[in-house]
Amino acid sequence: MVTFGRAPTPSKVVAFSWMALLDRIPTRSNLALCRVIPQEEPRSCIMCGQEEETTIHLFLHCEVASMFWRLLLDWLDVNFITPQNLFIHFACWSDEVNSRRVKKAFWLIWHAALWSIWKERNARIFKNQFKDVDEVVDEVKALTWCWALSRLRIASCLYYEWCWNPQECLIQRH
Amino acid sequence: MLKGFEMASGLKVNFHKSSLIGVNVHRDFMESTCRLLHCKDGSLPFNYLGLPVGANLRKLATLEPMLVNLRNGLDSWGTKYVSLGGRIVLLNSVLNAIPIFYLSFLKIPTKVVRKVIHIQRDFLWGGVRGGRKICWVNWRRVCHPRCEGGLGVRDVKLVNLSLMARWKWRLLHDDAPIWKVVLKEKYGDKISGLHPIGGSRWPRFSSIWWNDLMTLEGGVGGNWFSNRVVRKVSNSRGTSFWKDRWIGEQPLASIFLRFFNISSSKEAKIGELWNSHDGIVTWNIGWRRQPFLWEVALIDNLLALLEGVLLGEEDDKWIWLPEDGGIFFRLALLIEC
Repeated sequence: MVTFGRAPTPSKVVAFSWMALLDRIPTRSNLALCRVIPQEEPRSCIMCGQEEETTIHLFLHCEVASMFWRLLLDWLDVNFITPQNLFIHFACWSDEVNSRRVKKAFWLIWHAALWSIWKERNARIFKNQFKDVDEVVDEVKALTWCWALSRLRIASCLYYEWCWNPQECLIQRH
Repeated sequence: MLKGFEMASGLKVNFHKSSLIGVNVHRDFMESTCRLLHCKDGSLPFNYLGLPVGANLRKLATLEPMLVNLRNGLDSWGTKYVSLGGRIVLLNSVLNAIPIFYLSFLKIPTKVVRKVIHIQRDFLWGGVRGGRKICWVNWRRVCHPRCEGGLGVRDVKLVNLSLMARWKWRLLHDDAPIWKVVLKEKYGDKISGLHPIGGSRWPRFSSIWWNDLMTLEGGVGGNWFSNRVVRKVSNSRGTSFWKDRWIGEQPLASIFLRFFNISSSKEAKIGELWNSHDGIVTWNIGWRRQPFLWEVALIDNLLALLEGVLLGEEDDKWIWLPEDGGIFFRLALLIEC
């Protein structure tokens, strides 16, 4: 299972990922299950507006989400097909990486990605602010750049370098 | 007596802070002695070193201070804005640690355990004064260690059990601190042994604490303590050949009952039966009568089991065999440290 204690991510983000992996976050579908929102209220996903907003749909199978992940995968230069659930996704995510240091950074990026999707979803629902997928991806890059610099022991790099080739930045030591 | 203590230690008794508690003494006498010593007149139950003495441990009211402590700890934070991750950290470090002192001494009634968990759960999901919130994850899952997909919050009941088992663990050892001497005077020599359920009977005057300790294993998956603790044999002066569990799964007396019955040295220690001469190990187990011919073959079985036992110089000690992955695997870590 996922080793959460080791991830160099802020604790609130890790805690959120933990709940998301267990499918215990207040998505519309889960809220309806707990009868927080009435049964007749729409449960569609705010991102695509078509299917029911379950955890797996929101984070993996929604078209916005799959676009989002594809952009991130391109950025990190890894490749895999979207799997059935978040557990496998997490496992595939850092599968090709051998170095322990880079693996840690990949976990950090994964947690940040989940967190950003959730923030975006909340902004859309509660503040009515819509952002493009590109902007969300940029947000993940900025967030992980800050976190990586402050929490992972890597040589300082520019944001521009981080966006260009994160693996290169991670390998360089102090 | 107190004067003697003062002279010996250089400490002074502060009579103003002390109180005098009479046991089976007449009221008038108590009052006059209190006046003489300038003490307060105390009564049972009272608090000593933070623990209630003489109170009924089974009552909720006795442990109310612990719960009040927990709630006070929460109130002082006022953590309205702490995130879920921060609350997990606070829960693990503070809310779990406050009751440890009580848990290490008293067996907490189930009702209190439930209340403690209630406080912890409400805090995890709702924060301080957050009202009722949805508890998204099962509490049992929360209590799993982090590597198994939980949050590593310690289960109050398990901590209580393991800390109580630690008393049994201490009882097993050979040293003689004063509390053990007192217990020995009260309950006899057999206190320092394993006590599986129904193994020994304790007198009716046993205290609640002692009864709790001795019936500790009843609550969960029987005999988890006595089955896990085994004797590690080294010089074998302290281990009984027949009656202790030191080789195999059970004591030899129960595996080879027939031989135990005809042996002439039922109480013998291992070291007394073991002989080593020029590297050749022999066992001289004495028999009451000559073994029958068909028994000789079975005795070979016993000897085969004993083959390869080498005795060293150190004293024997008790070791704890953790079960891989079982819940008591986690307990074991607490017991041994």
